[in-house]
Amino acid sequence: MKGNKPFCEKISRSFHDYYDGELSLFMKRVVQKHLGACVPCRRDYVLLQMTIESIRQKVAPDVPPRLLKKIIRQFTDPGPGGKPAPRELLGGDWTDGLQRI
Amino acid sequence: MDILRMCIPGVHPSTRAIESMVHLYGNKIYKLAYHMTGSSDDAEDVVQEVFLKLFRNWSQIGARRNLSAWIHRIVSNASLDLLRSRQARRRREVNADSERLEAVATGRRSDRPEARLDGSELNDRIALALDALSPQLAVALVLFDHEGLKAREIAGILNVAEATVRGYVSEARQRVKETLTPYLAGRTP
Repeated sequence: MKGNKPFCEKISRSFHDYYDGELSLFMKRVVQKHLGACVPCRRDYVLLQMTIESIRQKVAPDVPPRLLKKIIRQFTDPGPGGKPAPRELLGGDWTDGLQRI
Repeated sequence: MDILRMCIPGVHPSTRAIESMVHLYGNKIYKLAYHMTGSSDDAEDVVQEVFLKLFRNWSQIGARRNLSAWIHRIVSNASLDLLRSRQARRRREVNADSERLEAVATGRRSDRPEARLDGSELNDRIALALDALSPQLAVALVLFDHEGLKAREIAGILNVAEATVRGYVSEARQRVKETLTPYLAGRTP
């Protein structure tokens, strides 16, 4: 079926809320009915669904272990060789006895 | 392990607490920052900044009911700062920028190692599309679609109205969709 442009534009503005389940029951049915009848809008909605799912599945690399080691060292090394000591880095008074929580 | 029990008001973190926090949250923070900034170097900077803030505010951490929400806020703010400064830098690098935009438009693969992350073309294209978004849009989209936060929670993080967050997310999705459409259109059922 060929789309009715002004109506299609109005419906397509609801696609995000429709996908997120944020529409009222009435509007949800209106969108569902339109998607069942309008091929261009159905195609557009499928592309939106695929886009959101692709964003959700996008992968990120794991944190480099050297970075974690560096951070731990930065905050726990007492600081020989000019490295900042934790108390300098964090500020305030250190109570060594109470540090061992 | 209940990390929050290690936080005692007025007391700095112990070595054990530091190690535990870094191992427990380091990967999560890195991945979140990576999604927001699209760069491993920037993600590393964010991780260091977040832990610095975390340990500096250690005595208050125990009072926080939701450490995860606090981390989302700090990572988002640090990423926004980085993205804004990167954007400002780019305005001065017009030639490089137009080359990148052309790459997005033509679907040409990026030269950035991050964009070739897992060799997947789709991942490349999403990375480029996110990279072309404004910082606010990119951060809102990652928090909403990747982290699954509610618009209300993101509104609190970004200090904007909930309706504004929904607007950001819709606009960001639409822009990413426009970039991905030539690629996804061939995969539609």
